Amino acid sequence: MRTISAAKRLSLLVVLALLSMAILAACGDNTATPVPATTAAAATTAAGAATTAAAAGGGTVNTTVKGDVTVWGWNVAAKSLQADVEGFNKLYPNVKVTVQDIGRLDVYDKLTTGLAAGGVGLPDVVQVESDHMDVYTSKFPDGFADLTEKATKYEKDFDPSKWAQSKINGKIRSIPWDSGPVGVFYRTDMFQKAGVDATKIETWDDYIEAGKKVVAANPGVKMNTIDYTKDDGLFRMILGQQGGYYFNKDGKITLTSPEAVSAMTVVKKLNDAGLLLNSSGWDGTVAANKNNKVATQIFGVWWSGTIMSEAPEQKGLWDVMPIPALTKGGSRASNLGGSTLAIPAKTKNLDAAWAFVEYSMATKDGQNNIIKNFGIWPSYIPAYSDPFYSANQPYFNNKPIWKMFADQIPQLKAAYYTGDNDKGLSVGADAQAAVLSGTDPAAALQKGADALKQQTGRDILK
Amino acid sequence: MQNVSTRPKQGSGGWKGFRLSPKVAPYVFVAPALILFSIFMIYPIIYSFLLSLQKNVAGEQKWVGLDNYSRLLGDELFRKALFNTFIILIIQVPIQLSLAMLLAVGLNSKFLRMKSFFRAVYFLPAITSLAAASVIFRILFADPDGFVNSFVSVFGFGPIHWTLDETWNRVLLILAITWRWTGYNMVIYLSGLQGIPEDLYEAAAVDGASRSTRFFRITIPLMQPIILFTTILSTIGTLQIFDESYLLTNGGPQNATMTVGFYLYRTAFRQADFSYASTIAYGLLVIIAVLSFLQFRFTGGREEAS
Repeated sequence: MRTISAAKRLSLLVVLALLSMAILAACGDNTATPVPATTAAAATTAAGAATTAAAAGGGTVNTTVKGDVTVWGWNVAAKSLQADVEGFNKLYPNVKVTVQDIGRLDVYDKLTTGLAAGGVGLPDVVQVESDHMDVYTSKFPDGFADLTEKATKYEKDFDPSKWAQSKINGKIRSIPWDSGPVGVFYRTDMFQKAGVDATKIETWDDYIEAGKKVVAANPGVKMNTIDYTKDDGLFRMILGQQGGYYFNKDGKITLTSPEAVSAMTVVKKLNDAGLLLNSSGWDGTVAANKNNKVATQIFGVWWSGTIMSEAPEQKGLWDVMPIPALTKGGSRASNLGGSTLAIPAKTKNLDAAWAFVEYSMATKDGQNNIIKNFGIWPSYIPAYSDPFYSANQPYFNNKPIWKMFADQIPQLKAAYYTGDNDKGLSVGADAQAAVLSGTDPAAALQKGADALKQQTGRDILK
Repeated sequence: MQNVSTRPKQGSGGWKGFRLSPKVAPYVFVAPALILFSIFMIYPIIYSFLLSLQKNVAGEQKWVGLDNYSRLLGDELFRKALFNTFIILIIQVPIQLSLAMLLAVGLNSKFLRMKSFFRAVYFLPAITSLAAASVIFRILFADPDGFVNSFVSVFGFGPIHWTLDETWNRVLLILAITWRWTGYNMVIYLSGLQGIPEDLYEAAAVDGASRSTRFFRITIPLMQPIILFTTILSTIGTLQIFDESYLLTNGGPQNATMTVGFYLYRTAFRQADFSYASTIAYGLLVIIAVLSFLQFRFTGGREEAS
């Protein structure tokens, strides 16, 4: 017989099946190395007025709440929570807080497996980026503690767009941390050389015209960075200023909406005018700014912290203006990035965990310590009454730039991230890459919407 | 029986009189392994299959039959991941194995000095932590002004867009995999080469066979079972490639280096969609089973005929 007998063949198949599953299973054991975060949390230590706001004077000391609280976060966000522990312990001397910086992607991996295992091995408090939150709340609706009762009193105090994201099926599942109001950071020296007055820029068309002059007057300089293939941040910011996102409130796909098409068209126009510099990833973006390769950087407010610490030599050269409108008089407020704090439902010490979350997120002391020392922008509106927000910033052309960001907060519109945000991001980046290599924006977005529908089973909004 | 009676009594019950009959004993001894195997292998395999027939709807697992599988059949990203993986398989495995063979023959030569040093050098990548290695790779292949680009620019080539261009991104991945696994296969080949009797070569040399004739007429045929072994190992390994795609290229531009393993991981751990991830695993399982079956059948049949 040349062929193997049927029984032998079958057993061979079974062995192979087991073998390959074994190797596959081993795949899952790989521990991930932390990758630098590119969103809000990546903003590094802000120089700023570095006074540690102690809790002295504010609030009464509570000794009845006691216990250990473990907190997961990453990068500068973890550092800022750590910095809040001192002030917190003045009010809650019997709570021991341990902040662990375990890397952004590791937090997500551990959170996924922990929630899937019914809450095993999770900390008492965890940082989650706002756009990631729905992934967990959609799959594990009761994975995070219901904070409705404790937190409802703060509803009016938080950035409304962020509060809307914290509310899942009518219940508060997380406390907003930082918002990412958007601005156009621009180089005053390069604008001056081109004779461009930034205050005259009102629309994207104005920005493009100004950009052509700036690029002509500053050899080797482009107007803004863009990650051609991996990130569609610019598209999302322009979409967001029109109140749009990949999904709407009902979870339908809105990639083919007029807002999305107009946003992608702006990206295309910017590229066609030769204003964009392809920068790969976070490091590439930082390097382009530091090496004087771009005249503007359109980003969330958290960019200020990064640029101040990465490029101290550019002090005084930067200023900020609001993002240009699509049409004259249109909205000039948008949001990019931001995190929340959540409490896994299986925590053994809900009261102590909540006390820490409350102190760090919903007190002026806690939040202003974070913005002043780490450049992370509070969603907690009462914090803005601090004189810090109206003070002139030496790094930023001696202008009170924080005020501009604070003024945007009430105008921000909530993005509905849904549990499929990750798929939306990759589809958006693919559509952008297609547009930048010549495809018509509407066609690229239609293709993206179809792909997203296929991947998520969601309907496309007509 | 005598043994039992000499033992001190341990109360009325206990182990007194407990005897393993030769029929039962093997099962008892094998039991711990079997139980562990069932808990950690059989159960997950069955459970993930059940998962692949379900869907998480607002926290509840709902039975959806073969819905996930029909989604998999229409999943463009899965197809792209498979395509990427097969590109790597078709291009990388032959390169890697030929290179390993050449190195092995070279290192097996009588004339080479410091053999063990070279063997260690080539094997080293296989035991290096890829997390560390990928950092070095990323620095070397930084786009557009990394070391490699600076190097090729000396010869007048423009910067190669390792991270932006789909093709070059795949080349980068293939380079990394080749770097990592060539030495591993080389060691396997080396041990095989040492099993070939020296007098065969001597006799062939006396008969006037050239170096290449000896390689293709003696070495390759005698090494055939080992070559088959490494081919199957590399095939399975490549189909499941994950680390390089995740750590080095992060899926690449337009998912150019998204592999099935990475897609599975992303679906499960980034999107918390364990059901669909299980479906992907079973999709891959079927493909690996079919491929390996073909490879076995192809060579197994020949073996039985000989």
